[in-house]
Amino acid sequence: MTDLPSETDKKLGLLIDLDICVGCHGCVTSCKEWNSTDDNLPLSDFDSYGEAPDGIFLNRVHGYETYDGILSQTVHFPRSCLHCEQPECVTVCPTGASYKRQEDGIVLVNPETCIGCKLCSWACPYGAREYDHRQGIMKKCTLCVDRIYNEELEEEDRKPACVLACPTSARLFGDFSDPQSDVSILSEKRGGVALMDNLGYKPVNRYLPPRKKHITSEQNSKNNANLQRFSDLKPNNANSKLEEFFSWLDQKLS
Amino acid sequence: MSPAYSIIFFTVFSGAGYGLLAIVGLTSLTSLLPDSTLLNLIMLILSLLLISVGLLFSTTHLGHPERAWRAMSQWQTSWLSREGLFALITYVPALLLCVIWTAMVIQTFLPQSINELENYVALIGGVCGLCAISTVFCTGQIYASLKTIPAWNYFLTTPIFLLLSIVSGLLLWISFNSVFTYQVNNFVVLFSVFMLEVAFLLKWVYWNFVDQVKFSVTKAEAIGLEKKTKVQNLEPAHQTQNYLMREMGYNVARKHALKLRWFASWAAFIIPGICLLVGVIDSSYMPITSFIALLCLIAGLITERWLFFAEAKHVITLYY
Repeated sequence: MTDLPSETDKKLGLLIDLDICVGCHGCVTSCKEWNSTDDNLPLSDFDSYGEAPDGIFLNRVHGYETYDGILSQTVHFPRSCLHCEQPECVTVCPTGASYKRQEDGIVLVNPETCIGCKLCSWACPYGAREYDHRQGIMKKCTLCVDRIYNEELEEEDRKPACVLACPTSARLFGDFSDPQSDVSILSEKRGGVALMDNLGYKPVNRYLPPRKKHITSEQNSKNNANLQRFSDLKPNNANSKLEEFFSWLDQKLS
Repeated sequence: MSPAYSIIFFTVFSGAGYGLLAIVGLTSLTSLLPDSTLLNLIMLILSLLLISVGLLFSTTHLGHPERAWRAMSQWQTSWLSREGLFALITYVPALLLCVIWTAMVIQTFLPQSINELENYVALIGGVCGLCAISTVFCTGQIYASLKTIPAWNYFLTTPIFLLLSIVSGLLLWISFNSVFTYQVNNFVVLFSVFMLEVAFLLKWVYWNFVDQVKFSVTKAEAIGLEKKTKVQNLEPAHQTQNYLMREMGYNVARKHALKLRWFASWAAFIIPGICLLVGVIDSSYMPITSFIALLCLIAGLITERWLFFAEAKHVITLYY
């Protein structure tokens, strides 16, 4: 049913640290791999080796350059379903194929009853849903519901594939309804952001904004001076005859 | 938003069908109902044909049309489901009216019961009209309720859908009446011109709104940064277009859109208005002018509907 539970028992979600995400796309590929194998319907690919390859992904990583008036920096931004508390993708669904689970708050699509009307993807402000036109149904992040409760896996592996894959631990998985959980504590400490909160979807996932790296103008000029000194430095044995010989030999042999 | 032809044709044709059904149904409550039951029956069947063809178009938009019946189930929360349900319910009084009028046309077969049936025409016609209007109202609400598309999430979206549907119905009704009976009530024609120009006015207000509407969030807020941070694209998430960009990232050039707005204004609102007024002045022209008005209106509405989608920007374009 598309009626939303008034309160879910748990609020499982992801805490994504924009300060340490390096934009490696490891989460993207591991997500695609896990969600295309085993009992899952594959996330279709189209024109894989052609001019314009295309495919369904449940997670995408964008790279942005940001400038806050003082410092410009690169921000890598992973984008996937935020498992909102007020998910309009669910309430607009005419068939009840989209639903929010009472027990853990995960938003899912039933592939057996989805008619592929695409309205849910229109209702989602985060671009979390992608339509698989080969299978004629909508696809979205399941928070790896087939991993996190899977007793065949070791306990430490019962986490979403993207979380396990992240080499910098920029992604944490946990229960946001429990104030003592790692995700709640860290989100509280670092000012976790609910994306586009004013639209009223109440996303569960939180993003940790990049830490403030602001420097004073005095520090800035000192840094610039250091950089200048660094570029003036020459390698120690730049002029050694032996070094020149090896350089000549290297060129001849390569 | 990508202008999908399945939805454009569905909303224009079914919209006209529901409009005509509403007029046919509601006139049965009044003295405006044409005397010829055959004419009423023909218009009723035509409206059902338009509705059905439009609904068939809409199912081609689906990935699994064979599961379309499931779409009736979530009427508590989903406007799309409500639309589907009303579309289906509308067939009940419409087909009942069809049966009654058919019986009245071929009255030789059912001589006794005719008078009894006739008493129910007004009641069933009224229900029919209300169902038809409710269906179009739901169609408008599907778009108007999406907070992700500020151009649609506007108080005029649904009224415009309703007005354009009613106006299409009125023009169909006038065309058929003038062709079959050579006489149309001038009051109805002038009322139609009035409705047409009100729709025109609201559409201009809507277009003016679309030109000015902005997202309530910035690109920076979309990625969790402070509102005023400048954000520009550095590394794309993917090299080629994906579903989101094709479906939600459709972009129509401003110059191009303005030309189409002028075309839609003339074709849907100005020319039909002039044609109908010519028909009022000299009613012998009405069969021709009302037919021209109808053709222009349909061409104009298809353009108007294309723009409705093409000009609407979805908030996820902030990420791209």
